[in-house]
Amino acid sequence: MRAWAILLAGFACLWLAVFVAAPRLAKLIPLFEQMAQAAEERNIDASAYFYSELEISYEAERLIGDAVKSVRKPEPEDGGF
Amino acid sequence: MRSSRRNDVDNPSGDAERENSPDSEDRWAVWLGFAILLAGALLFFPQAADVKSELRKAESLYSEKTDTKGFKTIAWYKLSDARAAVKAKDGVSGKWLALLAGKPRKWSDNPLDAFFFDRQRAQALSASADAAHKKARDFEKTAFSAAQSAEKRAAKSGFGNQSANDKASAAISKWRAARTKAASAAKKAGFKGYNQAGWLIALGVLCAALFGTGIKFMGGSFRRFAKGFAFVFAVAVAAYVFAGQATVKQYGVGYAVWAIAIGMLISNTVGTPRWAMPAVQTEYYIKTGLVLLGAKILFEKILTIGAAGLVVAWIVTPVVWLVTFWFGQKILKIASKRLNAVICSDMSVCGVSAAIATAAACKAKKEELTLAVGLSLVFTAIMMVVMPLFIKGFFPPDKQLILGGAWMGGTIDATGAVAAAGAVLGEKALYVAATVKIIQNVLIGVIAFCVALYFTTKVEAAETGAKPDAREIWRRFPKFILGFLAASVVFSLLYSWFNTQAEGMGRALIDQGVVKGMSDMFRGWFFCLAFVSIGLATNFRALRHHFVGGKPLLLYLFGQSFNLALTLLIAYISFYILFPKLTEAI
Repeated sequence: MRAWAILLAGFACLWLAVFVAAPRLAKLIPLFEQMAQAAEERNIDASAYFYSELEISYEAERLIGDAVKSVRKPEPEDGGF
Repeated sequence: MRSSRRNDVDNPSGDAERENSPDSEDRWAVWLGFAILLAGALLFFPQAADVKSELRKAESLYSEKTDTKGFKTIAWYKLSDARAAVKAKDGVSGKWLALLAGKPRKWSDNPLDAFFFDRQRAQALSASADAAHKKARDFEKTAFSAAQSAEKRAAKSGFGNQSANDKASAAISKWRAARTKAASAAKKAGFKGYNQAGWLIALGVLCAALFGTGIKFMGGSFRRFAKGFAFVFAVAVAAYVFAGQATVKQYGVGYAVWAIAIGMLISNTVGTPRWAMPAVQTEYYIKTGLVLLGAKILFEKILTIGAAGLVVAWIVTPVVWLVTFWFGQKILKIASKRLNAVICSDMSVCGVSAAIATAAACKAKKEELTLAVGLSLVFTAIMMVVMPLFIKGFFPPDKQLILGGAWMGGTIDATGAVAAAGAVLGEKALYVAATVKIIQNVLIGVIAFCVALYFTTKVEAAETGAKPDAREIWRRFPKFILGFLAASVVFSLLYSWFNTQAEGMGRALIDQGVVKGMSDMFRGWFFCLAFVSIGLATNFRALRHHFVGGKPLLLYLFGQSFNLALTLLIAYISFYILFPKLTEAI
């Protein structure tokens, strides 16, 4: 019975962390709101672990890669590919 | 002689019924991984001819007729967008797979929204988003007209007038930003609702069948595994539900942390049910997930940002790894070389994914991986907020985007956090940061292979006291690493070959086909199942002794400080001294 009570208390703590602590902390951190808005606008999942979990990674790779290719010819002396 | 450590990560459940033979477990992980990759190839590669023709069509529509002297015109962006829009996963099979392997959705206040969102509510929501969409679309049209006019003025001088070019470039950037916002608004306005519950059950059954078949062939009971799997899978779903909460996502807290936390909460209170233990198979899930991960370690990606990015990601990272490992062994005298190695990868490569690969390669204990993931979580959350603030406050304005982006891409552990932090500084910083991170991600395979080789030939040899011959090394070597590398090499070759057929074809068929349309979705679930298994088999007491003296924390602090200093220095040298033309091009 005690173990079940601790388990429920543990889940309650997780719940509090999500709904109380996290939003309050967000208000205290400078730039957090701006970061959240920028991520929302660009559909960025800040919790993604790997590049393939983010559509923006492919966009970044494509635009940077294309930009580098568009202005550069292979020139060994300056290292551009 | 087999290392005694096999009892930890390899069989964390302590399952009395069956201890998987590591070789057969490796073999099954490789087979299952390759079966999924093959299924992806069979589903998406037959679209090759259509993909090629769509790419050719885009080229004929938007290719530049005149020399723009490197100026990125509207047509250049349109060609790039048109190429990116070609995705093999957008076909019928891809859409069906996305539903089947989909995760619980993002939610804000009601956790049930992770599973259902009925059509009526969705319609009400999309109707309210309609006005914002129309406004964003109108703004995009205005920005596009302005960009066209500015480009015409720059074109009059053959793109030879720097002032006109700068004005056109600024107008085009405004149009691009407006376009991104309009696309986001369109998505909200077109929202139709969903019901993920049935698909989650179907996915659970499919995964139970896949892994259960392997268990059966390895001598276990399919029925007992399937029964236990229902519990493990349910906890994995709960982890994704927590990770999907909107505010939690903004902190960069992903499913791994929730899976471990919920699993540990259960195992250390009421205890993991005995009937669930046959499905608590950390290593089996990790190894299979790692083979799938191999398919997206595509070597051509390291060339994306040219030599500058390569220097930042591929020189700094191994140096930081080696110096931090040396510091951990010689200065901090950390008792476990495995814990040291896992933290080094976690901190210097790319957080959780690298930690998983290294832990599996060196046969680390489950609590060692847990500790590394926890450290990464805390520092990722701190760094994603502090670094943009620091860059804005202390970097000269002309260095904030490229240097700042490269610095964050090379040092913040998780890719999502890198992108979120980069987005605060601006588009260019976001793109540079994300690209450096991609190049760094590719290092996982190399690091995992080197770690497996080092621990097999040196560390395990020292532990057993016997100098191993080639046969013994082969016997001890974790074979799934070879499957991981084979997947990486095969898909890298295919990626490059497709790109020789038509520019963007590799991206459309591999990145936006087999990887995103198939392997990535299953890989996420498999890693989540592994973290749930870790949590369900971890005792708080086993974790506690690692905190004594705070050595892991000191190791992380030292390594990350060194990483920050070296990455900044090398990024500056690369982007501003060695390859300034490359920087201008970005």
